[in-house]
Amino acid sequence: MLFDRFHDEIYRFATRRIGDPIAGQDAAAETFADAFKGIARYEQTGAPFEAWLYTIARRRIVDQIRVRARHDHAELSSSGGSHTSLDGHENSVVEGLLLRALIARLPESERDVVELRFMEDLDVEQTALRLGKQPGAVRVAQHRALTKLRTMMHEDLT
Amino acid sequence: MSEPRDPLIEAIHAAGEVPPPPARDAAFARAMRSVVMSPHRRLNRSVIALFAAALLAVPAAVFAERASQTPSASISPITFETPDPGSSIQREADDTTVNHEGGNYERAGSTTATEDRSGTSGSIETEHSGDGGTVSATDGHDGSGSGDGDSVISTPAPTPIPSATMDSSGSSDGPSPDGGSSGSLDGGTSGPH
Repeated sequence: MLFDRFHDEIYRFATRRIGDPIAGQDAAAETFADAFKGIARYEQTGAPFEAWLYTIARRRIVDQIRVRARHDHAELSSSGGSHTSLDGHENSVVEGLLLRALIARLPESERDVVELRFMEDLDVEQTALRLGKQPGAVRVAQHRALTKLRTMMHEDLT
Repeated sequence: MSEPRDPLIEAIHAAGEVPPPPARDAAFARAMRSVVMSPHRRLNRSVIALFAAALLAVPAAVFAERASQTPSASISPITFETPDPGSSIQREADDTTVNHEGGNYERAGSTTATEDRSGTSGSIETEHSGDGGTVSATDGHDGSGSGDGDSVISTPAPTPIPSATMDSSGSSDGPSPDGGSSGSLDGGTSGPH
């Protein structure tokens, strides 16, 4: 079934982008709701289903990010701008947050490749199918993304 | 994954860890709820829109009703008002020009009962003169003496005039043709009587 095959993947994709599992669940649910409603349109276009599903997921992720941005802004205003301290977190968590921040600075095409290839552990062909690209383009984007990440990490350390 | 894992990729993989997804049934129910809820949201929006339209329609209807009930500027007919005796507005009776023209007309109407029957009534009486010649004859002379030129217009010229009356009229009513005619008629008619 369509939902069983792609739900967990879309949920993880959305949760990584948004940074909130609850919002990731919302985005995944809305993605499949839109897919159910618009399945007729997909059949007419004939594009790869994975790419079509990820396109919907990106839109819903952007919606959730906007909702969270409004919510965070309201919380920040009500709390007077106090920030929670990260002193108690482990170093790995801090490194993970730092790396996510660096990945977020990549162009979206390269960011998609990094997340699907190394976070979701998909191969090049599967990644190309989900992004609607050729495998060669995925390899090029992967190489550029890794190079940029190394450069950014080196700049942050020095 | 054919590529060897370097520390960066391992770190990326670790950074991509997310909490496990919810149970499939719950997630599916959530997605289906989104599908089912959409028409309800649309319905709610339409209901709200209808309610708002009704709220806007009520004041509009009240306004329209008031606008229809307000009497329009009523145009009262012009009536003759009794003049204020103290005012300086000239009355119609005081107007000399109006008095002159109207006076003739009034006289023409009133003189039938009173003294001046010269012009208009004279002609009438000439028709009746056949019945009573003496009275009309004197009236005819009075009328000619007054010399109302206006009554000339009203006097019927084509009245049949006997030829005998022409002689008497010529003596009495020289100056005014009207009076002459009337007088001659009277005289003429009175003659045979």
